[in-house]
Amino acid sequence: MTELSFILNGGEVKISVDDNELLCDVIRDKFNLKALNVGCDTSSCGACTVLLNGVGVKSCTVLAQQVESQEVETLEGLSKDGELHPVQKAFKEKHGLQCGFCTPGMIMQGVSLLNGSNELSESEIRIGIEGNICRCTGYQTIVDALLLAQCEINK
Amino acid sequence: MSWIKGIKLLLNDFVYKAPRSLNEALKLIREEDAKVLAGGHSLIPLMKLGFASPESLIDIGKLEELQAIEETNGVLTVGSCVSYRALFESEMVKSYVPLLSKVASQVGDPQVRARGTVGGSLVHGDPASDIAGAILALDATVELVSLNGKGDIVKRKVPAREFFVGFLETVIEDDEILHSISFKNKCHKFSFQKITRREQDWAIVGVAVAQSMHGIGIGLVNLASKPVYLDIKKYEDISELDPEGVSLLLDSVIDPPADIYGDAEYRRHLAEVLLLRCLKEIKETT
Ligand SMILES: Cc1cc2nc3c(=O)[nH]c(=O)nc-3n(C[C@H](O)[C@H](O)[C@H](O)COP(=O)(O)OP(=O)(O)OC[C@H]3O[C@@H](n4cnc5c(N)ncnc54)[C@H](O)[C@@H]3O)c2cc1C
Ligand code: FES
Ligand code: FES
Repeated sequence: MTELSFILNGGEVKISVDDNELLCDVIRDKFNLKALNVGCDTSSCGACTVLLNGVGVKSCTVLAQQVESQEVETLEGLSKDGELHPVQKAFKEKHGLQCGFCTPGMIMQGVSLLNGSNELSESEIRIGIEGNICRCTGYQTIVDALLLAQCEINK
Repeated sequence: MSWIKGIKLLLNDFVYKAPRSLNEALKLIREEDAKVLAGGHSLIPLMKLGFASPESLIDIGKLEELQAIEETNGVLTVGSCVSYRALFESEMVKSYVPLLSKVASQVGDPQVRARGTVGGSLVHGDPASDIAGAILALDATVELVSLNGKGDIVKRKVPAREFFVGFLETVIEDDEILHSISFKNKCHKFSFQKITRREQDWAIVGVAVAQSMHGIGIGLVNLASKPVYLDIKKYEDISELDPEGVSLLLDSVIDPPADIYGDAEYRRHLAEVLLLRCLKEIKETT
């Protein structure tokens, strides 16, 4: 066991972890933040996407200890004072989900994309969520949601 | 060994170490069954599948000196731990060897590009490594570091064209760390063609071509057991190269793999088409 400290959803946290523990497991099991899902567990599906220093990464392929002193944000950290994040609102508005399994990862990757740029075309958005697999929606409503969120954020 | 608990793949027990200096890292990797960890996007999946089970992981991902991108005396040096994302965002790289920026923008997906590093991809030595194709085409130099008997850091420079040895095998020794990759020539005439199932993905076949005042370089991705360099020195003018010439040249170096995405013949066909496209694009670049 090693002491790990990092910033999780804006607050400093300290926790003991095993050297072989993955970031996704620490977030789900030790912090009981169950939004992120582990789908493929082999870095292909993106369901486990969280923000590391503001950028989307697949937490099933990051060792917990690799985030020492860094900033991690999960879906639980997005809403502020009970108000949903514009990307969350847009997913609700545009029906960007069906079963919801891919949604936390999709939303975090969407936030990462929209953080990085102020004007993305529809095709850039599609390319930007290529690391995230959705088996339900056919992607169109997710793309619509991200386009709407982009409008809201840039207002 | 890794094992499966429920549906979760678990990593074997290992000791994680995050050295604070390159020197310390070089000492640690000399220990029995130690392995370097950079972005972990090749190594962690391999460990989950039980193909690697190191005793210790030496995380070099936080060493600042390996993250640098700098230009000195006309030579551009890219640190081994530079991520694809950082590579793509670098204005210096764009102005010096834009082929590298282009390739970096097409690896995997955005999340993979945020973590995967140039050095990790090269040392992993996957025949389908895009960045390998680019450094072959650009005639780059790979700089490896290790400790000598006195404990001082020593450098070994290997031309990219001699770096890859076989399937997932390179010339790097167990006690060495890939420090950086250097590019001595600016190069603005280039082409990168990659056939994928999706917009960005592993290449079914990829071809990178770079032309500088020192000649033309061609790197082939996923066309043999390792990334390969195609030598066309004997052609002074690439416009002399007709489809037949290209075909003969390719056959002298490739041995295409076969998998669910295509058989060897299909890959060979793609190689020819892509190489001709690259040459055409280069010819049309003013
Ligand atoms: C979903 C997915 C899609 C991908 N798609 C593509 C693609 O389209 N094209 C492509 O080219 N690649 C692709 N990749 C592979 C990706 O490029 C590599 O995983 C990545 O670049 C490896 O870098 P890393 O820093 O993660 O290496 P690690 O996984 O940390 O290390 C890989 C190996 O190199 C060794 N190593 C790492 N750095 C050094 C160093 N500086 N010195 C000595 N040894 C070192 C490690 O010990 C290990 O053996 C994909 C990967 C994933 C997970
Ligand atoms: S669970 Fe991490 S990418 Fe699928
Ligand atoms: S909503 Fe079901 S997988 Fe995307």
